[in-house]
Amino acid sequence: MLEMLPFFLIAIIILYAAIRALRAEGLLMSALWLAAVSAAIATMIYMLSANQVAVIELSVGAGLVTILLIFAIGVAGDEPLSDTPVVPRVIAGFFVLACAAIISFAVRPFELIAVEGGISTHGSIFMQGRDIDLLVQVVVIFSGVLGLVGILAEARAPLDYPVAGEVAARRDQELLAMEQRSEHIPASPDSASKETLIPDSPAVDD
Amino acid sequence: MIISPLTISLLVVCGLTGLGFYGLLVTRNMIKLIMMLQIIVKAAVLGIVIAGQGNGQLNLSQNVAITIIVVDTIVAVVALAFAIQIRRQMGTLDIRELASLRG
Repeated sequence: MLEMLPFFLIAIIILYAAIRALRAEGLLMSALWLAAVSAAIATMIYMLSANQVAVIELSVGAGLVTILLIFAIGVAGDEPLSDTPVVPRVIAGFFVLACAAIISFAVRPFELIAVEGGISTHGSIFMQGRDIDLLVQVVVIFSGVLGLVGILAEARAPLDYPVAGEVAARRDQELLAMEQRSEHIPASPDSASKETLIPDSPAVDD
Repeated sequence: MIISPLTISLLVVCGLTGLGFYGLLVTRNMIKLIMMLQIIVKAAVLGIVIAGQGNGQLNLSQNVAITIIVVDTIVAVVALAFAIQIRRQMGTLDIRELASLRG
């Protein structure tokens, strides 16, 4: 029973951190609790003797994904939303409990069943035993690169630069050009005749 | 009922999956939805490792788990890119606001 104690502790940490990630007010705190979930899961996977998966889960799940989430929160902003859920909490809880009951019923007769046949090494499966999933991974990683381009793209949205602003700027330039042009035009004969109509002008005294 | 490390891990898998589904149903913020999706996938990875440990094919399950982690990371990147672009275009991350869009 004593050897179960680390598993109990890690399980409690995982579930507590997941609940905090769900109920955290800010997105940043939620991302940090998610990193804690990932680190605790990596520890449990390591205790189940799956060392390679534990290392990758710790570096990718707790490291890379957390950095991406924090960067995305920094770009998009931590928008406070109201507490009104999409689905009422009672219905959501009932639905989740029903799903959990089905899953528990499916895995209830869980036994250690040894598979017949030789056991391949991790390296041979990873390097030789993969076929179409390797191609799928290449395509998916390419999609991920495009996604990173989408994250790092410039914030030049069409709604930020409406057409009316461009029209107004062009009109201002035209008005400025008209003012500059009018300064270079000499006084017209009409303006001189107007001056003669003024009673106190020197032309009338003569 | 025999309490073994695999049983405890299976309970963690069930709990994490339930929490993730509950978060998907309740949450309105798009970035938080991605986080809930991450929780579900982490539970799936843990479940695959448990299954491999249970039937003696740990190496095969490790390969599958690594593939899932890679794909999950890419899904998170693309989803975050969508969320950022939607925030720039629409000015909100609330999925209820986006549900009012008509094509």
